[in-house]
Amino acid sequence: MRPEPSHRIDPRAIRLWQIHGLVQLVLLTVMVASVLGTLLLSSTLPVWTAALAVVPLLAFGILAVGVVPTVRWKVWRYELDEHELDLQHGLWVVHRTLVPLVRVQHVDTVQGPIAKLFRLSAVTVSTAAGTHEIPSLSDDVADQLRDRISAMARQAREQL
Amino acid sequence: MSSSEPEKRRLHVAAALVSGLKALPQLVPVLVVAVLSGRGEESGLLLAVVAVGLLPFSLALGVLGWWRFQYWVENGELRVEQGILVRRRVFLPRERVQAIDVSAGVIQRVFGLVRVQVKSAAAGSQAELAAVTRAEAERLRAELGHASHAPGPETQSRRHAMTPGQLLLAASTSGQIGVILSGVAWLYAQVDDIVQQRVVTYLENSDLGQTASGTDPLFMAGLLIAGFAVAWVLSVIGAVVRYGGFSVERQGNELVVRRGLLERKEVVIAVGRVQAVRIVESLARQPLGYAALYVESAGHAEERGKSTFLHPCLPRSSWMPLLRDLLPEFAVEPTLERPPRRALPRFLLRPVVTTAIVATVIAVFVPWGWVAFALPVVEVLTGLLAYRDTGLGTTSLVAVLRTRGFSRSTAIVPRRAVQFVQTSRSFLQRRRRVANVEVGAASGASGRRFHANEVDERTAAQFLTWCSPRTPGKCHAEVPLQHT
Repeated sequence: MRPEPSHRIDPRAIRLWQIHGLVQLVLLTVMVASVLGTLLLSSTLPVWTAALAVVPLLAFGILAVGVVPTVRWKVWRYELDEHELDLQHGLWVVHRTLVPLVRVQHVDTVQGPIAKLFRLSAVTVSTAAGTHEIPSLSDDVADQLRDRISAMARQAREQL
Repeated sequence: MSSSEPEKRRLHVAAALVSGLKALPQLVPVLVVAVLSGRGEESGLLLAVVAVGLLPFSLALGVLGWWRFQYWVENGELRVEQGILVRRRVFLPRERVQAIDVSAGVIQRVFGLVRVQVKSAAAGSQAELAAVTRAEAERLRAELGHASHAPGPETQSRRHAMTPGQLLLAASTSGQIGVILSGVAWLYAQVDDIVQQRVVTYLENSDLGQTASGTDPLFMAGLLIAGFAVAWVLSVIGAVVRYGGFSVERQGNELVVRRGLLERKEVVIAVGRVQAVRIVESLARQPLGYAALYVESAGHAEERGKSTFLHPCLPRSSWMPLLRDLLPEFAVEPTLERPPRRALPRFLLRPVVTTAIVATVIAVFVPWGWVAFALPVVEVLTGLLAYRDTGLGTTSLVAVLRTRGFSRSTAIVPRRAVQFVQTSRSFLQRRRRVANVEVGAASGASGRRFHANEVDERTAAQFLTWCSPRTPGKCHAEVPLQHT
């Protein structure tokens, strides 16, 4: 079987994903609180029952902030050689993707607002059948990778 | 470019008629409903009068539109100016032109004309010439570098048509009945009151009326069956009109597909651009040994999200001969490796459990709800079929992936067309040492993905290696195959 791809994405990806998880947790808490609030106002249930909602919220928080980002980072790997781009990612479902460089139509770098604070960028690779993304690389690495993929794709096409 | 000063050309005058009468088909149901429901009533009559009164207006607009529509070829670019008040200009460079489709609607056929659609890869950027002569269409093709039938006659293939039997079979199993049925139901809802009133009055006056009435279950069942029969006949007629006069042949390095009884469509596809062939055996057709064959081609689709027919309905024994004749690259039948036995529970467990839960809920809350327990039974059957039919196989140059939802779909993808390949394994799949395989190929605007699920993980890994350009072999040759 072919070995795992050699490169990891930037470790700061964990922090970035933790922030995303935190934002989701806050939004979820607000939603649950508002639903519970209206329910309690219109029923005779004692107020302490609302505390039961804390358990699933806490579980979500531990998963979204504590577990998922680290595991996701550990699984994420990529490797580029003169022929192909090799990706591995996924938490529950592990995906392994090969993109032949001759098939690459264009390469972009993308940066979200929070990622910008961390100076992290994603590289997206487009083929005629869809787009693939390598998330959370440091800006320098992302720029280099983008240019390398672009140049190597051109070279691979010329060799045809 | 024939001259330095290109003359601006107009369409044939019939184009005015084409756009002027465009609204007519949509008017027909309105008129039918108006007449049916408005008999003797002024509102219905008024509606009909208004609808017919709009016709001259629409025709006048058509003439204006024709007058304001001009096109010409300049600097290897097709340029179109159109619009009565708002002017729209479309410039299509010849290197961007992906396909030039020729078709002919009823009006065009009356005048012996054709409609030309010039398509580019960019979404929404295309030009349609509603009515021009056949010679003009050929001239345009030549000017835009898509001259059809250019190479000599030695590359001409046999012309594959459809036998009347195949046409009838294709039509009666076309799967359009659901759509038509809802149409009939809609129409019935529109005229329900009148029909019921009239039928019941009629029956009450006849001998039958003694036994049958509007609430008699037997009578209702009869009505339902009649509705199905009408829908089926309509769907057969619709399919005959769509597929009638089908033919496909290879001319040089192009495939020419023609179809349509009233509206003729002609699609020309460069053989080098063909990315995959799909053989689809629907539930109704598979037991009879028939299937529809489709071609997926880069940057070209008849309609968005639809693939082009290579043949609408062909018996199993003819699949490979047809492919050998038209697209020899795709005429392969490698032995397919099926999912291992340990994968069988994965085909059954999840769909059966989820539908069983749904069925239980329905059974508890809905009267007669226990009928829903047919769902998990159906899922057991489809799961078993999916397990039996899934497969993955390769030759040195071509991969074959087979899956089954309701239809059994076999994709034939050459290695040169693989845009990406992906294996995925969930936690549970890792425990059972199986994996899903997915291949992306270019087709239309967004590409198409082919799957083979729950195959042995070693097979999946080997398939990754097979697709990899690192593996030596002629994998990305873009040279169109020589026809033999």
